Amino acid sequence: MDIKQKISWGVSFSSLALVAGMVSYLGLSNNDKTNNHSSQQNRQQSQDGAGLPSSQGDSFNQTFGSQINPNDGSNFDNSTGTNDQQDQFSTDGSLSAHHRGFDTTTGGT
Amino acid sequence: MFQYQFNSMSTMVTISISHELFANDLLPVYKQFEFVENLCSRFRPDSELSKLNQQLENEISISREMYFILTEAERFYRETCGMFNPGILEALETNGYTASIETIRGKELTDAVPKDIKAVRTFPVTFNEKRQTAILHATIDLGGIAKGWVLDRAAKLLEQYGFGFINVGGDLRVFGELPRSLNIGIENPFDPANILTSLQLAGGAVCTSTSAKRKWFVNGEERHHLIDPRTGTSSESTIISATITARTAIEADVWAKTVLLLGEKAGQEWVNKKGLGTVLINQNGEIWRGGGL
Repeated sequence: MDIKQKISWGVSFSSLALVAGMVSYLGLSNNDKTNNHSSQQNRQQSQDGAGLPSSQGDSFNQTFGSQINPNDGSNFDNSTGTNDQQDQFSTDGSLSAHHRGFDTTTGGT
Repeated sequence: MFQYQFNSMSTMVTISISHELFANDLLPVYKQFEFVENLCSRFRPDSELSKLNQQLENEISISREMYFILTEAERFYRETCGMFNPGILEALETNGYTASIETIRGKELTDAVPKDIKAVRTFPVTFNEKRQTAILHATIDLGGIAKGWVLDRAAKLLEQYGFGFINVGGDLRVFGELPRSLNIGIENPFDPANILTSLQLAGGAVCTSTSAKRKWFVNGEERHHLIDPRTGTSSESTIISATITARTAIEADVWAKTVLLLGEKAGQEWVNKKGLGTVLINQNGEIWRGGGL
């Protein structure tokens, strides 16, 4: 083997080792990619937890009003906001079978 | 229609409305009910009513709302010739109604020994309009009239959003312009799960007063919360359920109670004279209708 060939093998081997080292260092394998993404998420969550409002939280407040006191709101029944699918009094005047055909009932307390 | 519910005044408040409401729309309504409990509940020691009841014969400054309710009570006292009288609280307690109804309903109250049962003839409050003060001469209960008052207030708040009705334990107030009359079932007082009859309501309010639901026993004797001021004890009226329609819930509530206390004959004469829409159910389950219902 002449000296030229030795140099060529050496360069090839070094290049391969360099590429493998870079791949390992930069974490371009699938597992590393997932882990790095999770890390980024974790960092984001800890930032949120540190007092930065998440976009979901903003959206909630915009929908329900930022003045709502959760303690007050909790007294509303879960049925809040149910639509007319099962309701008894519709705008076209038709009746459903709710209360056996009555819109509502009275009987005192 | 959209439906919203929450608990208040020991019962369920149900709002049925044509327009969807958000929590910000509902909160003022809920606050009204919370406010009236803080104002008029005799079972809350820090309510304005409880504080007032502890200062008999003293001139006390009262809130604008309390002043309004008490002056309305006086108006109804006069209109009903004393059959509606908020000064029955002592009689109510003497008859055993000393705690929230959930704790005494259907129970034998052995500790409550009736004593000194007497008629309640005079109106228990003297007012000073200029100073916005009142002097109580007897303890008062504002349960029914307060419920009617808050229903009317809540209806006023809700009518800006659409049409519909609020039902508070069977006391019902319409708001806005309904596209048609409501078809309202009237419960059988002996079996509330069943509807005995019905009425149509285009606007205003309907309230039912019944002696069948708030009941307990004292020494084996059945008592209920509708005190006849003429005797100071639970009414012996043969009317078990009185349903009245009126322009406002406060009127419907007071008049339903009045008619029941008056009894069948006098009650029927009274509603005929006033032209009130009425459905009465007596102890035999017989139904009487007046005022075009």
